[in-house]
Amino acid sequence: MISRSVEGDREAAFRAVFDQNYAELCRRLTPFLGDHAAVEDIVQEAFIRLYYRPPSRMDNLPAWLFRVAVNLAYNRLRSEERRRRREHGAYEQPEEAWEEEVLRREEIAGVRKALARMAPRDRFCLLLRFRGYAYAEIAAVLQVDPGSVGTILARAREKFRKEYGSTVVES
Amino acid sequence: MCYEKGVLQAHLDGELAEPEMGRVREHAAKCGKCNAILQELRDNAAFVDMSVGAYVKTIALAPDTQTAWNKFAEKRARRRWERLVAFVEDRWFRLAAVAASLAFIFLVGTTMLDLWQAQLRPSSPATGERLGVTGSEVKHDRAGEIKDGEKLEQDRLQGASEGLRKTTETGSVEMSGQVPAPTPPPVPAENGDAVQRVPLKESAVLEKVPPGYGQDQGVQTQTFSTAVPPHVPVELTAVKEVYLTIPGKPPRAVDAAERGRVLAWYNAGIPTGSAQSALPTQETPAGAGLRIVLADATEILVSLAGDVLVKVRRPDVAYEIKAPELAKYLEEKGGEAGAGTEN
Repeated sequence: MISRSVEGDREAAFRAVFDQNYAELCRRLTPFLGDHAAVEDIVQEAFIRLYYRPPSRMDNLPAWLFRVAVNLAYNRLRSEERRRRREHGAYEQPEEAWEEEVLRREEIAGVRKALARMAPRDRFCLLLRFRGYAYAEIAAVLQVDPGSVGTILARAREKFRKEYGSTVVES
Repeated sequence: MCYEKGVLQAHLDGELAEPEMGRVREHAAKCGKCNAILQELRDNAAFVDMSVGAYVKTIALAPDTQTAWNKFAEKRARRRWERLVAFVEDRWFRLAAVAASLAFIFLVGTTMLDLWQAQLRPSSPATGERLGVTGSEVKHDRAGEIKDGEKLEQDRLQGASEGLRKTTETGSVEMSGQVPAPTPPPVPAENGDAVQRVPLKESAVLEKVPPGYGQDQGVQTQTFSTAVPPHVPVELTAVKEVYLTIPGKPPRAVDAAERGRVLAWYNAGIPTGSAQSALPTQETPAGAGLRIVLADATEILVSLAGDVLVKVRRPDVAYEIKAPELAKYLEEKGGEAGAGTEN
C-alpha cells in the first residue's frame, strides 16, 4: 500500500514536471530540428531519459532537459546525415521535413529555410550560441575541440547569412 | 602576424583567455585587415541574432500536453519492456550461451579423451608393471570404465599378482624392491557443507588400487581416508596427495599454481603446503606417473598440457597413470610437460 502510494506520488510529480516543461522544450528545440514531429519525438525521449536516469541535481531541470534534448537531436541528425551521405554521397537537407504551415512571414520562412540548408553541425553551433552556450558547452554537444568552435561559429554565421540571402532572392 | 577568423570570433565572443585576449586586442587596434574581419564578424552575429531572434519569437508551438503525455506513457511502457528484455538478454542469454559453450567443450573433450584412450591403450605393453601391479591386477573393462573396488579386488585375486606394492605401517607407499616413495600423511579433513559434484565419467587411463589390495599377499593396503567418513562431503583440502612423478626424477607436487601444465582443477584449492611438505624427495625409479588419492568422494579433474588425463571421484582409491603411458604422452607433447617435472 505504502509503495503504491509512493509510486502514485512519484507519477504525479513526474506528470507535473512534464506539463511544466514539455511545450517550452518543444519551442526551444524547434529551430534546431524544424520538423514538429521530430521535435516532439526528441523531447519525449528526453523525458524518458529523465524518468529512467534523472540528474543528481534537480535544481535546473529545464536546462538539463534542454541539454539532453539538444544532444539527442544532434546525435540523431548526425547519424541521419551519415546515412544520407552513404546513400547519396553528399549532405542533403530533407526539405520535406520542414512543414510549411508554420511559416507565417516571408522573412521567417527565409530564416527557416536558411537553417534547414545548413549542415547540422553549423546549425547547432549557431543556435546554441544564440541560446547563450559557452564555447566549451558547444564543443561538448558537437563533440569537437573547444578551440575550433570559433572557426565553426564564424563560418556558420557567414553561411546562414548567405543562405538567407539566397532564399530571399528565390522568393 | 594576423589572427585566424576563428580566433577573432572567439575574441569577439569573449572566449579567449586574458593574455591572448589582450594580444588580439592590441593587434586588431593597429591591423586594418583584422579590424575589417572583426567588423564582418560583428555584422554577421548581429544579423543572426536579429533573424533567429525574430524567428524564435514566432514559434508558437503549443502542443497538446495531454496527448503528448499519453504518447509518452505509451513510449515509457514500451521502453520498460525493452529494458526488461535487454536486461534478460544481457544476463541470461549470455549465461545460457556460456553454459552451452561449456557443455559443448565438455562433450568434445570427453569424446577426444575416449579417442585418445583408445589409441593409447594398445601401445602400452608394460601396463601395470611400473606401478607394482601386474597385468592381471590392473583391470579396465572393455568400455573403458574403471571398475569399482570390489570388482577389481576379484580381478586382483584372479590375477594372483606378485604384489609388488607394499605399504608401510605408517601408510606410505613403497615400491617393491625399490626406493620408497613416501606418501604424505593424512590431512585432517574439513567437513564442508557442500561439495560441487559433477557427474564425471571415470577415466580408463588410470589404474585403480582398491582398498585392501594385496592384503592376502602380505601387502598392506594404503587407506587414506581414516579421518574422513566416506559419507561426509569434504572439500579438496581432503586430497591427501597429488603429485607427478616421472621415472628417474623426484616426484613433485602438482598444485594449483601449475595450471599451465595441470590445467584444470575442479574446485581448486589443493593444499599445496600440506601436499608439498610431505613430498618424497628421493627419486622414484619406477613410480606412478601421476598419482592422486582422494580421501572422499570429491571429484577432481586434471588435465595435462591441454588434455584431460584424469577424472576421479572415488574415495580411498589411488588413481595412477602408468608411468610408461605418461612418458609416452609427454614425449608426444615434445617434452613440454615433462620439463616442468624437474624440481
